[in-house]
Amino acid sequence: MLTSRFSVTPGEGYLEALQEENVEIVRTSIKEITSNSVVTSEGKAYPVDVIIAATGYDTSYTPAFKMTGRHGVDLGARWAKTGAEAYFTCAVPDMPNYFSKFPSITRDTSMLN
Amino acid sequence: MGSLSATPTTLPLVTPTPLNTPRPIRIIVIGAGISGIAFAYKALSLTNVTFVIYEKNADVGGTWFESRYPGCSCDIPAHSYSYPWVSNPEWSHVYVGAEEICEFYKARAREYNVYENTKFNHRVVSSEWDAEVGRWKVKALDEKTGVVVEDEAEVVLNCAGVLNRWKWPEIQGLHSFEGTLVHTGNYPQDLDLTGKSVAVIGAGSSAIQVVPTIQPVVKSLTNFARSAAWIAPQFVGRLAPDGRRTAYSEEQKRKFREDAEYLKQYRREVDHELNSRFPNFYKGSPRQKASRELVEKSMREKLAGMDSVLRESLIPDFDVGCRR
Repeated sequence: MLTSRFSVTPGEGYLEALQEENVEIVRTSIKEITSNSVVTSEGKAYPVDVIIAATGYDTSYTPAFKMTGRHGVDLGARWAKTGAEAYFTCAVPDMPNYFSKFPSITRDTSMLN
Repeated sequence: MGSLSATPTTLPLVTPTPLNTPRPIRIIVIGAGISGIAFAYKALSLTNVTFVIYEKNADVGGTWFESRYPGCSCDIPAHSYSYPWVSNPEWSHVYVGAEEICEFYKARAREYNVYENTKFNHRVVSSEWDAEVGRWKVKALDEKTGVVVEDEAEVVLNCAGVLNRWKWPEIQGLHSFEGTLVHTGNYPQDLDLTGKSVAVIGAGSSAIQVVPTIQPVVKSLTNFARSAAWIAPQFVGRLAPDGRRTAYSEEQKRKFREDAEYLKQYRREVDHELNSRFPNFYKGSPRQKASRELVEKSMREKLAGMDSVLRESLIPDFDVGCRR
């Protein structure tokens, strides 16, 4: 998961594990989940006891709370339109004396696209 | 000259304070994770500043307090995953798990008076700028009592990270599943996977750590991986010859402990090794191309036993570094 600064995941053991007897990797997308199975778009059902969703986080950088700045500007509403934008990644127009610590690299996740 | 009233009705306000005296500033900090703890450290050297940290969890640590899925650890060497101003000669391995990282930052929090300055179980619900008084009016929900407390400060520092609002995948019928459904971002510590049939959905950084960790104990494991990901050889391989198993010997740790300069040089070396990879991410550069070839080769070697069509489908078609 966490904090790979370089967008390439160091995945020691992952590729090896995929080739173990008890492991299968499925590239087909999931159509639905039923009471006991994961069903792919090709209609194949995989009955399982446990589903672990390793499906990530809301990484929009939008504050989880309502942030209202100068002139009543709502930061969440603004960023919903523009994506997260900030001056030098930490200061935001109409939000005086408000500093956040996260890089505002949003729509492009590549560092130097 | 204009006329001056001999008895002005209002006098200009002059405070008996010397020029450049720092005025008192109050700061509201949101989040007691690595960034919030770092602020507390910096605040030790600030004059006339008071602060309070609002933290939604019961303890410090943020991401590293919350993330406890099997295999959760840092992707870069621990000696680089520490504040620049404090070394930790005691790191057990080159790459360490979530618990060890969290403990390290808890100890820093104790040192930097974070516990004295933090309201735990308080989730910030709003922050509104009051232009009249030049302060932020902040409301936080006390999760234990349900009471909303109000506070205000000149400055708000948002130190909340992005790895806490975990999300379910949008899959039809997900919640009709009658077995055990969990998310890596909220992983139950008492879940025993021994002998179970398990589906892991995803091919991102979390899935890549979960799959090899649980594989030896589960009955069967199906990894639903719609997208391909670049799976690199471990970073800084030279410094970690046994990969994630590379532990520091007692002798190494003793040297780190006793020779601060040696430890500093070692940390510099780790950082340099990591930073020297940066040109790999210049789009279209020879370095990026070479990096792609290297990772592709490593992936093909590791997947040698796999059906060739499946193997090739696991090699991403986007450039190295463009997605994680």
